[in-house]
Amino acid sequence: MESFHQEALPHLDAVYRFALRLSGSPADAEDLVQETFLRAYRAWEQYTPGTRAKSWLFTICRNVFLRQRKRDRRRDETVRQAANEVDTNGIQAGEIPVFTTAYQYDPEGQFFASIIDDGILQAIENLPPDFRDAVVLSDLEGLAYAEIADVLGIPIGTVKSRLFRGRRLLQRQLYEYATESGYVQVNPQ
Amino acid sequence: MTRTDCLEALARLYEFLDGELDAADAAAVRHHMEVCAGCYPFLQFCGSFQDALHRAAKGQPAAPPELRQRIASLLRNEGLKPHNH
Repeated sequence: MESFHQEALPHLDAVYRFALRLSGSPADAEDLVQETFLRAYRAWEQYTPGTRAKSWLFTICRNVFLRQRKRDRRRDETVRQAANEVDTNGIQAGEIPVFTTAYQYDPEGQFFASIIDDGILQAIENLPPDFRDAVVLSDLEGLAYAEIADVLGIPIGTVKSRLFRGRRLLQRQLYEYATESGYVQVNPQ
Repeated sequence: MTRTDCLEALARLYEFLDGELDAADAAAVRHHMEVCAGCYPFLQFCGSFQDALHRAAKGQPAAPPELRQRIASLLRNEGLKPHNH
């Protein structure tokens, strides 16, 4: 079971952050993480060494969360409904990947480098949940599209379009943040 | 440069940056970006954007130490031997 130390336990921080976003409360997140690692340990023989343990743990965590939700049914329905409504379309022809105002102001995107980590992380948290989850799993946790699709239970095409639009939305928020903080000076002309 | 080439390359820009395209598709996007003056800045802009996110990712919160200890003891009860370090 040395492989559990090497492959599963290093992801404890990432699983905790994932659980925190799912549950919205530190106490619930801790319970969720405990249950996730317990289940992962008991099912460790089913895990293929060297494959992506991180997304496997995220999937277990989400399943545990959804099962608990089903039991107490507080938020499950609304969460699912929102997920279905937001984005079932693929990327449309002519849709551009950037927030135009920011791109025109600074085509090299240098202002992004001036924003502090907390400002970026907060802007990500403020995204609508479906976009936030895709952006977090890709840009913060480094998962591949297929892994994100597995973890969130959505098709890969939906992962692509949520990333495409979620990132554009995030650029808008970061640009506004940078403007308000004085990192970006907009001259009214 | 046709407009279709540009639209195609921009639609796949994030897939390209995320390393999700196969070698042939990635080469096509890269080639287009290198020769199209209109599209190249998009690559730079999105690259700077993602660099900032990856930098911020390192500043994310860690799990509380008590949770780490609780899980370690939970797993010991399940039979996991402590790590040899």
